[in-house]
Amino acid sequence: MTTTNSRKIQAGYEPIAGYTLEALIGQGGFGEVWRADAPGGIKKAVKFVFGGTEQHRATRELRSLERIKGVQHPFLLTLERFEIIDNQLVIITELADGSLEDVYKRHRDRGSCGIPRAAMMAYLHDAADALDYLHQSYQLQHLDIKPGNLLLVGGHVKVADFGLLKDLRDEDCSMIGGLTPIYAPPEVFDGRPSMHSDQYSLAIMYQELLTGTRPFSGRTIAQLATQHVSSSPDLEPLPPSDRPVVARALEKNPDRRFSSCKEFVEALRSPKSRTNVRGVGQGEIGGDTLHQNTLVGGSPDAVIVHDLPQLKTDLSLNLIRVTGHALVIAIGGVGADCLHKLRSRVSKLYAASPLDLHSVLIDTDPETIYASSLSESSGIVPPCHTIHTPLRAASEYRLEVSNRLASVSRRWIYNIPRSKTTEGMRPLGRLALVDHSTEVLEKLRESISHLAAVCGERTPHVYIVGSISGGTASGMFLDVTHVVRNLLDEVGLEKASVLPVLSMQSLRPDSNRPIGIHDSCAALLEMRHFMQPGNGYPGDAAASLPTLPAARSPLRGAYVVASAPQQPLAATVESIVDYIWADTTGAGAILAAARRTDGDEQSIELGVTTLRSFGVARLGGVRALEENMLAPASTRALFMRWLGRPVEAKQMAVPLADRLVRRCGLDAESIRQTCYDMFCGDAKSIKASVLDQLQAMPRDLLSSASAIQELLESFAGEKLAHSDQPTRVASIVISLQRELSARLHDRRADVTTSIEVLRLIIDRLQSQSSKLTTGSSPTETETTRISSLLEFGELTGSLGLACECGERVLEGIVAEYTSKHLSDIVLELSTLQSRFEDIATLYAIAVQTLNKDESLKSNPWERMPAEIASRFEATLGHLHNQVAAQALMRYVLQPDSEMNPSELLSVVGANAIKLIKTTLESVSPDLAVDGESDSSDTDCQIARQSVASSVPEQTTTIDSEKVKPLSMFEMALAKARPAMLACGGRQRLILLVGSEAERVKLEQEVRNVHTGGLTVAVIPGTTPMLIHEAQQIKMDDVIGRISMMAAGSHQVTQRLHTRSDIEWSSPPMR
Amino acid sequence: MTTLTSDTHAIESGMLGGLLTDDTFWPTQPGNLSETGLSESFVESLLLKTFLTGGTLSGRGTSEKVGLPFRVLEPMIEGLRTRKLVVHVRPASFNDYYYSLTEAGQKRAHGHMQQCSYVGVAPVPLSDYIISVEAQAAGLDPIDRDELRRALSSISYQDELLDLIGPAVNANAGMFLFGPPGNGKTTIAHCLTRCLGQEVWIPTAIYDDGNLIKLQDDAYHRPTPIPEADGQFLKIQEWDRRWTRIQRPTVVVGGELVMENLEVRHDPRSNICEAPLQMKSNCGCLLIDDFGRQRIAPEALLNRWIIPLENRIDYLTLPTGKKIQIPFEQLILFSTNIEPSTLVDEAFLRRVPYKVFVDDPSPDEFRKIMQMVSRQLGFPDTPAAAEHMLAFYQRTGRAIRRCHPRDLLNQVLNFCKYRKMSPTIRPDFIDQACRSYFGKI
Repeated sequence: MTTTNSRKIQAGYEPIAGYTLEALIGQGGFGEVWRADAPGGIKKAVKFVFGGTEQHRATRELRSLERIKGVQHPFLLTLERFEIIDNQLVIITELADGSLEDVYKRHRDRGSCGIPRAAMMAYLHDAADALDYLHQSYQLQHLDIKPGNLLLVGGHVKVADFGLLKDLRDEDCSMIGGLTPIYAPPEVFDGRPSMHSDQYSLAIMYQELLTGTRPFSGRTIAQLATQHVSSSPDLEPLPPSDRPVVARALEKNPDRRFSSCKEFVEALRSPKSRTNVRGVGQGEIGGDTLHQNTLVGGSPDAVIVHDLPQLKTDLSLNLIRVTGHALVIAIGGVGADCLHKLRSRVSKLYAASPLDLHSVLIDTDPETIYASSLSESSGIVPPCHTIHTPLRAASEYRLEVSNRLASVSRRWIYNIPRSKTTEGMRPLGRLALVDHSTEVLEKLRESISHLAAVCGERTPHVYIVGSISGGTASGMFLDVTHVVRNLLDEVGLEKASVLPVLSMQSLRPDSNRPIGIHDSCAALLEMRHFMQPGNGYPGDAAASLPTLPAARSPLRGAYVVASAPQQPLAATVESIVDYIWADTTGAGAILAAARRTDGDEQSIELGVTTLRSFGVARLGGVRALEENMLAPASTRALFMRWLGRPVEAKQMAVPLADRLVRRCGLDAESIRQTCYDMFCGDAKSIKASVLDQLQAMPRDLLSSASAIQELLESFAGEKLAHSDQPTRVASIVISLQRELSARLHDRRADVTTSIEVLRLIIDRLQSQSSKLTTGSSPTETETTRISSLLEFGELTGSLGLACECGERVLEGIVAEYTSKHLSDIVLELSTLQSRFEDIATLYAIAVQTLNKDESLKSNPWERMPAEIASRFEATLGHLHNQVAAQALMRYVLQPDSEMNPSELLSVVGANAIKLIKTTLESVSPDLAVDGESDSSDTDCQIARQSVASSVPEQTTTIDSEKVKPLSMFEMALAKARPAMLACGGRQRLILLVGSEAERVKLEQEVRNVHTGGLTVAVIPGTTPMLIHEAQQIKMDDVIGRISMMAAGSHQVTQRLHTRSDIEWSSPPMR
Repeated sequence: MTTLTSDTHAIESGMLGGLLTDDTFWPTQPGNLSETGLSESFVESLLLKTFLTGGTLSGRGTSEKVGLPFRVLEPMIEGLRTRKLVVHVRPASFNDYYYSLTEAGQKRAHGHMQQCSYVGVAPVPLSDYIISVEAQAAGLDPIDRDELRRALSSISYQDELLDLIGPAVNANAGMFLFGPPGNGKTTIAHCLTRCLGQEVWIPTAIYDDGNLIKLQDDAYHRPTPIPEADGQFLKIQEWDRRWTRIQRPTVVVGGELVMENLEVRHDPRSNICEAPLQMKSNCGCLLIDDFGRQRIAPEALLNRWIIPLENRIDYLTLPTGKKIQIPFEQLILFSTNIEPSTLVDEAFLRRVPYKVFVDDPSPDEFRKIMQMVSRQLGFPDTPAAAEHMLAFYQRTGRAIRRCHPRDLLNQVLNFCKYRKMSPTIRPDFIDQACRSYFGKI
C-alpha cells in the first residue's frame, strides 16, 4: 500500500484537486513535504504522513490537527486543509522559506559558530509568542520544538509540525515514540509533560543554534535520556549573562522554570551583564600523563587516591599581577577568624596590597560582630559589612504572625538557648538567617552592588567561608551561597565565581564535641541534596529568598577542608586563608585551572556527587608578603639607580671624562709623551738620539734621505720590538675601568654615565688621533722637502741638516705610532663601552621583568607609613653595599662573567628580602612578630631559610641548619595532605613559588620526598606554598564515614537538618 | 587589634539532651542566676525558708532541694553568710559546708515564711512555662491511623470510630464522646493521651509577679525517668531540676467538678496558689466524665470553655488581681451517656466540633477485644471464651460493652491467683466472674 502511494507521490501528482506537486522540499521519518501549486497559482506546502490512518503516527497527527485547527496565531504555521486520501493523511499548509535548521546551517557554512544573537533573539521571540499562546489559551504543548520545526516566513518564525501536540487537560498524556530526544525535557521521558515543557526545548535549541554546542553531549537516546533526567547542562559555551537564564529554563522541575516562554526570552533579551563578551581562555589543563602513584604518607585505610594530570604552567601568563577584587562572605566564628586573618594580611601591606578585599560577616554571636567592629580601625581595607543575626527569645518567635519561619522545624523555635547563640545547632543558624532574611538580603545586595561598581570590568572572586561543623555557618551557608549567586547574577557579575570554602572538624571521633560530627553529616547530606541536578535550590518564599536553578548552584565547586586529627582548628583556618590568599593574589589562574574538571568529566559516574578539598603548607612566612612587595621594588629602584638617567648622565659625564682623562693619562700631551718615551724620552731628546744614530751612519749616506729614513725606521722598529705598548694600552684601560668601577661602587656614577664617559673619551681620543693624522699627512711632502734639503745639503754637506731631517722623520714615525697607539686605546675602550652597554641592557631587562608587576610601577615604599618609607634610601644603600660587588662590579671587572637576568634578579631579590626583613623588624617590632605564624609555621620557616641559602652569601650561618630541611619538607607534605583524601578521590600537588631561584631549590626539595606528580608554578611575589588539591571525593563515602563515626545515631543527624520543608535523604549505609 | 577567639566548636550546649531524645522541649540547666529568670531576693528568701524547714543543710543538699544548680546557689549562700544570716556548721565533702540559720537568719526566714510559705523546688517564670506548653502541645506532630489503632487496641477495632477520633485528636479541640455506658469512654481518653506520644516536661511551680502557682500534682502527674545518656554524649544528664519529666497527663473529673476547680485557687494563709485543672492537664487530656451530672449546669460548664476552646488561650485571674494568659493546649473530652443535644442547645454544641458516638461492639469486634485483652493479661489464647460470653449475652439479653472483656478477665485473673493456678480461662470461671460483675445471672 505504502509503495503504491509513494510511487504516486511525485511531481505533477494531484492529491487534492487543484494542488499539483512541484518539488520535494523535505523528507524524513514522518513523511514527505512537497511544494505544490495551489489553485490560483499560489504556492503551498503539502505534507504526506507515512503510514495508513490506522497506524499510530497518522492517528496521532490527525488528533493533533483536530486540536490545532481552531487555533490561529500569526506565528503558527497556517493550516490550509487536511484530508485523508488513499488512506493516507495529507496536510496542506502555507509554504515557508525554510527552517531555522537551514539558517543555522548557512551560518555554520560561513564559518560562524551559530546564528548571531540578535537574529536568534528575534526568532526566539516569535516562537515564544506562538508557544505561549498555545499554552495559555489552549493548554496545548507542542513537545517537538526543534530547529526543523520552526519555519521561516518573511523573516519571522512560525511554529509548525504538531505531531506530538498534547492537550495537558487530557487524562491520558502518556508519551509515545516520535519525540526528538535532543530537545525533550526530563518530564516528557516520564510521560508527564507540563506547562513548561516547550520552554525547555526552546532553551536547548537556543544554546545549540547560538553556540553550536548543545548543553547535553549524549549521542544515543539512552545517554540523552539519562542526561536530561539526571545531569547538569553544560552552559559554558554560552555568554555568561545567558547562563543563569538558560539554567533556569533547563530546570529539571518544570515548576521552577520561567512562568512562560516569553518571560524566558525577555530574560535573555535584557542581559544584566555589562560585558557581553564570550568567555576567553579556556582549558589550560593539558591532560598528559596520569600518575598512579599514591603520595607518601598515604592513608592507613588503603583508599586508592589517583593523581590528577599535572597542569601546564605558562609562566608569561602568570607573571602579570594586578590588584584583584575579592568578596569574602564569612559566616560564624570560623568564618570570622578566616576573615580577620585575611584582613590583617591586607592591612599589613598598607596601600600596596595586591588585593582589594571586600567582606561581609554574618554571625549570631554578638561578640564576633563586636570584635570585628573593633578591628575595623585600619581604614586600609574596605570596611567589613557585618550582619548580626541574633537569635531571639522563643517567646518572641511565638508571637510571630507571618509565616516567615515556615521552613524551620517548630521544635527549634521553642528550644532557643538562653545564651541566644546557636550553641552548635545548625537549625538554629538557619532560624537566625530566615528570621533576618530581609536584612541579610539587603546587606548582601548592597555589598555586592558595591563590589560590582568597584571592580568594573574585572571579575571578582567571591568566597563563602565558614564551618559546617558548627551552628551558624553550617545552618546558613546553603542559603547564603545560593542567594549570593542570585545577587551576583542580578548585578551582571555572572562570570564571577562563587566558591564556598568550608571547614569541617576532623574525620576522627572527637569526644569533646560530639555534636560537630552530626552537624557536619547533616550539612553534607543537605549539600548532597542540592548538588543533585534535579534538586535546584528552592529558595524560601516565606523568607523571600529567591530560587536558583541547579545548574547554577555554586555548591559543586565547594571545598570542604577537614581538620587533620590532633590539629588545632587554627591550622585549618590558616589553610583556608592561605588558599584564598593565593587564589586572589596571582595564583588565581592556576588554581582555577586546577578546579576545572573538563576532560575528566567522563570518569565521574553519573549522578554521583563529589566533593573537593585542599590542604596548604606554606613554605615561607606570611612576612614574605610585605617583603615580596618591597623587595622587588627595592631591587627595581637599585637597578634604576645603577642604570642612571641619560640626561643627567650627559651632564655628569663631561667633568668626569675630563678628570678621568687626566687621571689615566689620556690627554693628548701625556699620550704624546708616552709615545715619545717609547723612543727617546721627550721631544728634546729626539735630537740627541737622532744625532746618535746619524753619527753611527756612514757619512756618504747622510745626504741620502732614504737612507736616513731607513736607518731611523729600523731604529724605531728595534725600539718598538722591545716596547711595552700593549701593556700600556691595557693598563690605561684597566685604570679607567678601575676608576669607573670605584665610582660605581661609591655610587658616584652609574652605568649610563660610564657609557657616556667612555663615549666622550673615545671621541676625544679619536679627534686627537685624527689631529695627528692631519698633522702627519704632510709627511710625504715633508720627506720630499727633506730629500730636497738633503740634496741641497749634499752641496753644503752638513750633518746638522741630516739631523734635522732625521728628527723630522723620527717625529713622523712617532706621530704614526701615536695614532696607532690611540686607535688601540680606542679599540679597547669601545670594548669596555660595549660591555657597559651590555650591563645596561641586563639591568634594563631586569627592570622590565619587574615592571610586569603593575603594583611596582609606582614605588610601593611611598605608600608605606612614614616610618617605613623613610628607610627607603638607607635600605637601598645597604642593598647596594651588599650586592654591588656581586651584581655590578663583577660584570664590570670580569669581562667573561655570564650575564643572566633571572640569576641577577634572584640574587639581588634574595638579599633585598633579607635586608628589608631586618629593616622592618627594626622599625616596628610588632609588625615583625607575626602572631599567626609562630606555631604552625616554624617548620616552614626553616625550609624557607634553606631557600635563602641558595644565595651564595652568608651561607655560614645556615649551614648548621641544613641538617633539618629534609624532614621539614616531609612535614610540609604531610601538612598539606587533605584529611578528606582518607575517603578516596583524586589529587594534584601544586607547588607555588615566588621566583625562579625558589623554584630551583624548592622543587628539588619537594621532589626528594615526593615521588608523585608535581605541578610547579612560578608566581612572582607569592609566598612559596604547597597546595594539595583533592577532587572527586565521593560524597557518599565521606558521609558514610562520618555517620559511621556518629555511631548510628542517625536520629540526631536528622534532627539537625535545617529545613522541615525538604525531604532530605538519609546517609548511605555501609 | 583584638583577636577573635570565637571557636564554634567549643560547645557547652545544654541542648544536647533535647537533641538526643524525642522531647520537643528540653529544659536546659541555667548557668547563672539571670538564666533562672528569678530575682535574687526571691531565691534568697527561698533559701532561708529551706534552711528554716530543713535545719542544717549542706550547700549541695540545698541545691537539690531548691532545684537550682549549686554553682548558682553557692555565691548566694556565701552572701548570706557574710551578712550573718547563715553560718558554717561543719565542712561537707567536695569543698562544701553544712549551713544553718543564725538568729537573725531565723527571724528573716520567719518573715519570708509569713509572706509566702512555699518551700521546695524553685518555680520557673511564667514565660518559660508558656513556651514549654506550646513546644510540647500535641498537634505538633499529627498522629495517624496506625498510631491511633495501636493506642486503642484494647478498646476498639472499629475503623469508623478511629476515623472519627483521629481528626479530633489532631485538631486538639473539644470532643464529645457519647454513647451507652461501659464502652470505654474513659479508657479512650487515657489511650488518646498515650498516643499523643512522648513524655512532657512540667515545672513544679510557676512564678509570676509575686504569685506562686503550684502546678505539679501527683494525683495527675506521673514522673518518668530521664532518658539514659548515650556513651558519646555525656552531657545529657544536665537538665533544669525545676522541671519534671512526666507522662502526658490525663485529668479525669467526674461529678465532683465545681467552677472553683477551673480557677486559680489561692490559699491566703500560705499565699500559695494552686493551678486549675486545665493547667494541670495542659499538653495532655482533660476528660469531663459524666458530663451533665455535675453540680454545675452543663451550660455554665460549657460557657467556661468557650473562649479557651476558640482561642486556645485561657485567662486566669491571680489573687493580686493580675490576669494572666496561659496556653490551653489539650484535648478536652466530654463524655456522657446522655445524648448531647438533650443536654445543651445547639449554640453550645457548635463549640465542641467533634461528637463521637461510642457504640456497643459487634460480636466480631468483641472477639477481637477478648483476644487482645486475654493476651495482655497473660492468658493463653482461648477463642471459646468469647463465644461463651457471646452466648451469655444472648441468653441474658445484656448489651455487649467494650469494657466487659477487660473487667471480666481481670476478675478471672484474680480468681486464678486466688486459686493459685496459672492464668486459664474456663467457662465456669467466666460464669463466676459474671456473677460477681453483673450481680446476678
